[in-house]
Amino acid sequence: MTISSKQKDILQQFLISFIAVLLSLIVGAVIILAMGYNPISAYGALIKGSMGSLVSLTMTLKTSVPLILAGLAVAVAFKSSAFNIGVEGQLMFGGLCAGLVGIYVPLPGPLHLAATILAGMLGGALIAFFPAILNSSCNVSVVISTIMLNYVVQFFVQYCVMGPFHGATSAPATDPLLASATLPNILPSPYQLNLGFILMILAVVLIYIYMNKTTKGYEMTAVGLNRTASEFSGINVKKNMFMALLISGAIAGLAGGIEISGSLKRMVNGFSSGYGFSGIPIALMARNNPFAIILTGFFFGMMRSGSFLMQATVGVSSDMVGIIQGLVVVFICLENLIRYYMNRRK
Amino acid sequence: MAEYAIELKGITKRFPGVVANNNITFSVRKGEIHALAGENGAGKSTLMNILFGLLVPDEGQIIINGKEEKFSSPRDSNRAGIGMVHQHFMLIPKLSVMENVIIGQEPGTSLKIDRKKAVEEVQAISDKYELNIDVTKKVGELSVPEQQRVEIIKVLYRQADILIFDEPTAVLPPHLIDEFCDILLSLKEKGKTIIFISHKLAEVMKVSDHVTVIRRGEVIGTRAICDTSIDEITRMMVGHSVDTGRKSRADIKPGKEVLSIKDLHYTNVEGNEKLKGLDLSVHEGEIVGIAGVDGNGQEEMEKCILGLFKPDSGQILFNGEDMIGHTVKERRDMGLGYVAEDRQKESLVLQYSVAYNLILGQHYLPAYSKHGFWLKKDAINENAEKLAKDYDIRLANIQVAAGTLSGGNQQKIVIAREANNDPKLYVAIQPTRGLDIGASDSVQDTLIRLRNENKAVLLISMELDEILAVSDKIAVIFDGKIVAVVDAATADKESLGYLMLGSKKGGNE
Amino acid sequence: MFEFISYMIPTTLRMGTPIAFTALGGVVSERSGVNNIGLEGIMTAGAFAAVVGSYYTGSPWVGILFAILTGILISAIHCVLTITVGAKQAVSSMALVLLAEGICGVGVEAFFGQSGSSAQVNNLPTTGFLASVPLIGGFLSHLSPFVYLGFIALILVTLLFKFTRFGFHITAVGENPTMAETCGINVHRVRYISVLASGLLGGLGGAMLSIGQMNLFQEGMVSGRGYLALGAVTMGRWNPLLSYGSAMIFGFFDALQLYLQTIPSNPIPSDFIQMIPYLAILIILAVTSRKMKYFGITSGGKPYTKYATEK
Repeated sequence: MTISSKQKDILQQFLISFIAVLLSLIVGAVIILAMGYNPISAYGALIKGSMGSLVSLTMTLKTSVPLILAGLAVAVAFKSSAFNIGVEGQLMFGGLCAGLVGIYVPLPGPLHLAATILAGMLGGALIAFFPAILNSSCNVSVVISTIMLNYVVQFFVQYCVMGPFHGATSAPATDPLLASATLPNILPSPYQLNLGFILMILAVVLIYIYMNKTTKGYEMTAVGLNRTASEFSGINVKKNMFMALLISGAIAGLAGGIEISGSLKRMVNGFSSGYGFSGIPIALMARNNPFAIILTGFFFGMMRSGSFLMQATVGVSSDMVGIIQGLVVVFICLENLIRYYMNRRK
Repeated sequence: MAEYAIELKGITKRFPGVVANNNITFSVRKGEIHALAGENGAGKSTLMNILFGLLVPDEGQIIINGKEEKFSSPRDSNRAGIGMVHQHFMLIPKLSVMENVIIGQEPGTSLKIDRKKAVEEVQAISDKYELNIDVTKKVGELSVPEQQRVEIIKVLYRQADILIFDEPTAVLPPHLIDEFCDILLSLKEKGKTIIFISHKLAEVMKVSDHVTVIRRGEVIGTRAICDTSIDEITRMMVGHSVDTGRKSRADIKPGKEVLSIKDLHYTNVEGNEKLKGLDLSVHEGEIVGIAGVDGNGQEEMEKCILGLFKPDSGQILFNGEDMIGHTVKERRDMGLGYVAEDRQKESLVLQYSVAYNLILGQHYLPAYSKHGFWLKKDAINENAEKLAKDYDIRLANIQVAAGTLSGGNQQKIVIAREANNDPKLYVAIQPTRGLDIGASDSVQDTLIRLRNENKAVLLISMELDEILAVSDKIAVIFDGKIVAVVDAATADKESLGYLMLGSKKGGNE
Repeated sequence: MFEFISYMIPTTLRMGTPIAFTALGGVVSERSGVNNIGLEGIMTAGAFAAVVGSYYTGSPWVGILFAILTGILISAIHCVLTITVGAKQAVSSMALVLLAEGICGVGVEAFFGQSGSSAQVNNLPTTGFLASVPLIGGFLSHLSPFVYLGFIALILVTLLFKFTRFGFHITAVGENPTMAETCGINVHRVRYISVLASGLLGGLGGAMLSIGQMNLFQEGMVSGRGYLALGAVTMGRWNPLLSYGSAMIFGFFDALQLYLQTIPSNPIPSDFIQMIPYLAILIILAVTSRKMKYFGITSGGKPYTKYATEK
């Protein structure tokens, strides 16, 4: 059986990502070794902590949800060649909006939950709207404007949560969301996995369909791959980048909404802990393929949730995950080099 | 002392599939102006890039001042005293003339460039050669002809004795060409050797001592200017019209006017007026070929028709409706098929499958999508299978990425796609460039077929042979205007050559 | 009023100088045609390395040396990825940020056995010996030596571009690498040195945050100052003095924010004041981006492959 060039290409991309991860883990192991720990037991604890039991596996799945969505958000923008580094801010603002609707806008039954999640998505889209409009009408680089907005949002959220909407306790958080606005668990206790997981799968599938089965996705991808040819064929390049950013923001906002309404059940200042930034390596590793993002997002979720056990039992800081995250991006950047060596061996 | 500044012996340069230079041999005497003439694609630029060290020849010798040289970079050719004035200037608009000139060879120490000395030296060169440039001005503030003189100063500053000018008059307005010729003569007077690449034979005759003509990568001959004429050089450039290889076609009468361009003016961002009142008309059932030397306004006209450039004034009527103000998409919906010049950059998404590329720009049509939203994969694939068969696009299957196909098959994708949406007007720009004979033939046959189906076809090509073989009418573009429209069946290559080169002989303006 | 001014001037210098160091580095790197939105990561790494150096030797000056070396090391990654391999500059920059934050997080625990922040170390004392300068001695003596280093860096970078051959080559390479190469300049070499220099300056900026303003390293202490520096470069139109000035404007807002927090019953919440520098950049970019084509670096962001091989 012969494999088509397309399959070969996908296989090669998969291999490159795999090599990049492998190299990152090896370098990570060297660092762990240099700090005087045993990398094998560290990675062992990482796996045990994240997948050692059914409880920890569901924890990992829960942690993966915002990561996968953040990766998806980065990927959608990337598809149209916009580099959205503002996922972090969009996610936080989405969380805030979801939280406020969940607390202050009592609606009957499931409507309230729907409104809460929708508010999160709209909030995220709103924050992405500014860089989108600045890009299409004033030519401002998406990279800089999305980064700057991260900080604006950070302070705004801090103001809201610590100020007018501060809760009854001294914690940096609002009051709890009304019960009608929280995402119910889909597994019996003690397994923690809420409806957000289903929403995430839904989002991935919808985005996959949108990108691959519709004319809009066709245009967006064409713009990302070849802007000039798109222009010549009559596709509106700026409009597509604009739309891609809005969708990206909405997905980021969804991640924030799910995190607030599903996991934390109240709006917590600075709840995101870098989900948005993790989205970048997650999307890069998955080559922006939505289903592959589930895998890479889960990989990062695993590292995050397993890192606590690694820190507790082996002593390696949970920040090690951050290093590996950075290393993955470094090695993915070396793609051309890896590809060069792969092709030379043939 | 050697008699010749440059001797080229047997220079051969091959690119994949093409011999750009084949056994080129000629010599340039010291202190003369030697013109190099030839049509687009004849191999002049390749040859000059070899001489400048940007390309390394496969075979042959370069002898400079009697000494054999091997150039692997421009630095080497600089050292041998060769300087080049590029057609597209290598200047930094933000910096002053002086700064542009001294880059890489700054006077002073590494801690402090001696700007005072630099200004003096550079100004001295400008004065000595009467180039009339204030070297403290920013290059961006200078006009194009002045920038060209800055390039000349740059070359002189690097103590070049041999100066290569690549199409220097292409960027100059007619009234400044005489002035430029004077500069060349004054450089010659001061002992410099000059190679001057040009299509414009009037200038060639005026300033050169010798002219070497290249055609299809080979030297046709070298003549002393005093022993030759414009007629002879033109004949040498275009070759004898033995067989035009004119395509047979159905005998149909052109129908109503589809495209009508009236008094079109366009000025580019640099402020050069590239279209100066262009008029053009294309009817149903005819192929109008645009003949002309590259850079006479073809690109601007194409992009004004497609909608990427907005003209200053004038009309582009499409079946009576003005297209100006309509977006690219709207124009395509009105019935414009457009085969862009650069298929890889402008026509295809190389990573997309052949099937996807065959609907680019038409993907929202009901044939390929439901409600303009859901892609109909089956219809898209069927379409691709059909077009691949009809146009003989050779591929393993329609799902392979377009980038994996050969150039000829890539071009067939574009040709097929643009013809597929029942276009009223079919614009094809250099559609056979870089293709082998088989693929070229198939592309040209498609153009004829469309014409026989009563479409209006506009063919823009730098290859006169192609224009003659395919067109019904030939419109000659020169300096932003259509200067003549002739019947292709009776046109002869020579007189077209005159018209294309801006000479008035052989046609009515 | 006098009290306000005498608070604002030194505080502006104190808050603005770290951004200014980094912005000066950004000017050097971007003028050679290499953008680096990862300055934030370089600052973070510099801040951390400075504390480590000071912790182990007891000398803050060694800390500064550590910061410089670390900044250079981190930016070397950017060099390899963008200049040699030709990776997307924005993506490579993000690698720097993620990597630096991870390394510092792990490092804090590895070196100090605690998470979140380092132990307290010797910091750089203010220039007390200047107290004897007449009239303004009191003012001068309260400034960190970093502030003076910042002035020196500004002067050096200005001189680099104004007078030296290398500075001139940086400009040529950034504007037209093809032309620079045909004129005999090694484009990759110039870009390497420029990016490494930006690492050096970014490291210094980070060091000032940790051992200039405080005496420890805290995770997240850079909090976007690297990005502000990036904005200062654009706002300052790639000119060292203007970029330094723009950085000081951000310093001013930071100082203002600190001042307003000292006033009891101040009406504007500090969160909003803290937003000002970031919002200011957005507004300035929105107004000026269309014109930036003229001031911007022509080859900025584009990898360069040799002309001869390109043909």
